[in-house]
Amino acid sequence: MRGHTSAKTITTPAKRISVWKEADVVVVGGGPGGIGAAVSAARSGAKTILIERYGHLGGMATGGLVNIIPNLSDWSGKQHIFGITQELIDRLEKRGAVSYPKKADWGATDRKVVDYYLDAGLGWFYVRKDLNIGRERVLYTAVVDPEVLKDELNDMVRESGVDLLLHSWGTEALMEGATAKGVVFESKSGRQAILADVVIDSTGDGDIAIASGASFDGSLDPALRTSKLAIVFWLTNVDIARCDEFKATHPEEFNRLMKELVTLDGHPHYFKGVLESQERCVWFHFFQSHPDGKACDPMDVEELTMMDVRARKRALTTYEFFKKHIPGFERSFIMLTAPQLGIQGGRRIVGEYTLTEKDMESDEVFPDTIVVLANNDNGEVSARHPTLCVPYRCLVPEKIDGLLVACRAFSSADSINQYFNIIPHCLSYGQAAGVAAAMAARAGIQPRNVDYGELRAQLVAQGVKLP
Amino acid sequence: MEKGPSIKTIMEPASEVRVIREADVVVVGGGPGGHAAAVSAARNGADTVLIERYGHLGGMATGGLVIMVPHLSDGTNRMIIKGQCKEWLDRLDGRGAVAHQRYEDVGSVDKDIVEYWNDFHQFFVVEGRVQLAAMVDPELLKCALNDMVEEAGVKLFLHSWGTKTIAEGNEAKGVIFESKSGRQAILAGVVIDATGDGDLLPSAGAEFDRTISPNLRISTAAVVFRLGDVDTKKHQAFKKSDPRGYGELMNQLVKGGGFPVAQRSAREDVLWVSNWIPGLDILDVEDLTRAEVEIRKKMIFTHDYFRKNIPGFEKSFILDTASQTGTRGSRRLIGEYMVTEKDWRAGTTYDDTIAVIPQQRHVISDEFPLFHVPFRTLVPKKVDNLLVAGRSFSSDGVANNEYNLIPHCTLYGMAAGTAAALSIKAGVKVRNVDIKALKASLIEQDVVLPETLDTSVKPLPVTQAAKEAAPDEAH
Repeated sequence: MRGHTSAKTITTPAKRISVWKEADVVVVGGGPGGIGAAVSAARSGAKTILIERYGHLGGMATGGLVNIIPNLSDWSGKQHIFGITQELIDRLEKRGAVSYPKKADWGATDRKVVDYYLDAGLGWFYVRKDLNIGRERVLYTAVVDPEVLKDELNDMVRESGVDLLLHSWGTEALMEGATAKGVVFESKSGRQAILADVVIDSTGDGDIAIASGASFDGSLDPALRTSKLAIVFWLTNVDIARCDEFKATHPEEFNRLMKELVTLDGHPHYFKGVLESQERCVWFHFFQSHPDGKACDPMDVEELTMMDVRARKRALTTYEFFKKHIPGFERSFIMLTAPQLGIQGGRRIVGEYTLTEKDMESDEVFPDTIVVLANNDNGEVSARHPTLCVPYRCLVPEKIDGLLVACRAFSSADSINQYFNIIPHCLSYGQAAGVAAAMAARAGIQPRNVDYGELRAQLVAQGVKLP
Repeated sequence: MEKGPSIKTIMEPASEVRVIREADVVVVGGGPGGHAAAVSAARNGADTVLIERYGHLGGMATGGLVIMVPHLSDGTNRMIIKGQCKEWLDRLDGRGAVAHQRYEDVGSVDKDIVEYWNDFHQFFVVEGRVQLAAMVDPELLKCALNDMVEEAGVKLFLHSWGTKTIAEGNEAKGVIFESKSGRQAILAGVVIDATGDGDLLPSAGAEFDRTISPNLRISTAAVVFRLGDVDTKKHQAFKKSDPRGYGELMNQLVKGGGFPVAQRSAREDVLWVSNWIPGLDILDVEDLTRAEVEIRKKMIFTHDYFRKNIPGFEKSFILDTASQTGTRGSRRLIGEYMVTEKDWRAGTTYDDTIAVIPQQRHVISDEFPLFHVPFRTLVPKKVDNLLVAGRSFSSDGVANNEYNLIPHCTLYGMAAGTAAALSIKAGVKVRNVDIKALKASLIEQDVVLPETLDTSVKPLPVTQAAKEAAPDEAH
């Protein structure tokens, strides 16, 4: 009887719970999607509540320690993502908390500029080979200070008049038939409800939408990034000059050591800190496959636990190896392991439109385009199709009313979700969802019936560039 | 859209919750109390589940960045707090992951040793004698705590928020928790509430006391942060060369809303900065939110001030902020026994003592005796199959204020976990566990109890300085 899984259920009785507040729009999740949604909803005039599980905003960008906002430009250096993403970069610039190539270098082929990022190990974020000209070029990508970003996001949220609750875990939607009427959340104050005309699910994984009965696609290809769980950790007090010197003077030895590290289940690739405050920092961001070779199921808490424990072990192995063997790391220490798991992908809600790979090649400008994204990671396809439009309908669940999805879980096939579920993308989906939700609440209509012409006008007024 | 006055409540319908596991013991909360409870329960043969809200274990010691484990000895050369707390130090020793005095120097009055550790941190010396204490590396402690849980065979659920007790009448049967897998249940023979705040007590029907006097440390909250790349030698030298000037600078910092108490850590180049924000109810999520947002701003101001005005901070940066709010006190169980201020001052002893604890600020003497904690402070009055482990042990505000620190909670956790396992083995209610067997097991787990206290070491004479010493705050 004891000690193994059970097929039982228990019944929890019907219960009265208190309503914390009512609003026009409630956003669940304060990561990039939720920030975009809450700030733009409030700026569009909606009474807006934002609830966040952790004690900070920013999701993967802060708590996930993925402090990079990439791919704002295409290979040629033309910027496509503006709106709230650009606003955040501007605000961080005022505080000396962001680093990005100067505008003149976007699309640069100059070896000095390209090599600077390659040397820092940041090629994946900053450099692409432009197949049209056969040369490597620099992308407009930004690195941010996560601690300053947390504070800046607090400011943005407060200034726009959003009602914020931290340490609050949104668990399900309140439903009337197939219409969402609010959410239930847990916190130290107990189980409470928030009533709202529109619920925006920015949980990253569509937790609220799924609990509301929305149909979803949970298939994950174990070969893709989306099927893996990442661990990010930072080392500091690194004398990086000594390490560089060792790599330059003893390349075979360095490579041999890195190979040995891999056999010990460690991870050899590090990125250099490029912010002024990060001169002595290096960070590691590595993906972990499920040990059985299948896709990780990020909705299985036992798997999450197993991967988290394993990741921490691998981080420790990696750190101790560098400390023991690599000059420059003798006095380094683990600054921080990311408090938020690096879930790369998972369930995707089935929306009024599902983005697929063919949309990369169609060059279609949808009637309801909400953002234009740079298409930088698809080789020949990217060479011919440098951009991709995303329609509003990808945020609207097929059958559930009163609900929008603005995060990683937007309606898309796994194969394309892997490229377009990143921080600046989610900020953009959030921005559109927020405006649409405010419009729906004001007019007393369902989000799926929002007038696109007006939505487009408001997005443009908020600095989003649309075709 | 016009919003009318808020509707006060809504009705949530009944639901079927999937039972994911049945176990002997389920512990909710993986901080010092809960981690110790789970490890002790498993080591004593119980099939044990541990549920933890964050992605790491250690609670305040890791996620809270309160990296200090203080007051482990009593001014003599006796180590009083051992058990799993000492195991932490043993596992971190030799890895550059902990700073503590040598065990042979505990109780020393050697002038140089005392001066070194007094400069390091005021809690490492008590009345001119070395008092064993440690600063730990939170990241490496997270790893060590995972190892302990894995080796003991505890079934771990991270990223899982225990929300309520499943109770049938006066019997606890298990817990409900939320996670990315949805709402699920775990059934168990004994439930241990190690949430720190007794979050499971209301749904269990157990009585608790939430009142906290505003003049107590436990009425304040914090968000701790760390500063890196600090030239500590330069900082210390500056402080020593001009204490009045330094004090003035700190006054200015405080006037501007900043936090002056920067403390040493396990590394020479890292300081941790704590704070004490009054007037917040940490069970009120709006207050928690306010604390996080305001402290984050003041943290930035504090760091900028240090960089601009204090030698040693020219190249410093904000290493990190605690992912867990620094909460110090809230609900306390009303248990079969409640330790009080009177017990603290009198050094009351019991037949069911499960923890012996040194004074924080005084060497052990007849006037400041060791503090004893009985098993009954972990046991609710009416509810069966439920124990608390940690900060919410049954105590009045004053006693709780003294004895709810990290090392103390590891002792309460060890007792709760061991009692749960032994009672299940013996087939008795946990409130009726055989106290002799419990004590014997704790002693085997290296816990110091009255039976094993080295009585050849006599209490020290109380000094005038001790009598006059004012309470100080750094926890």
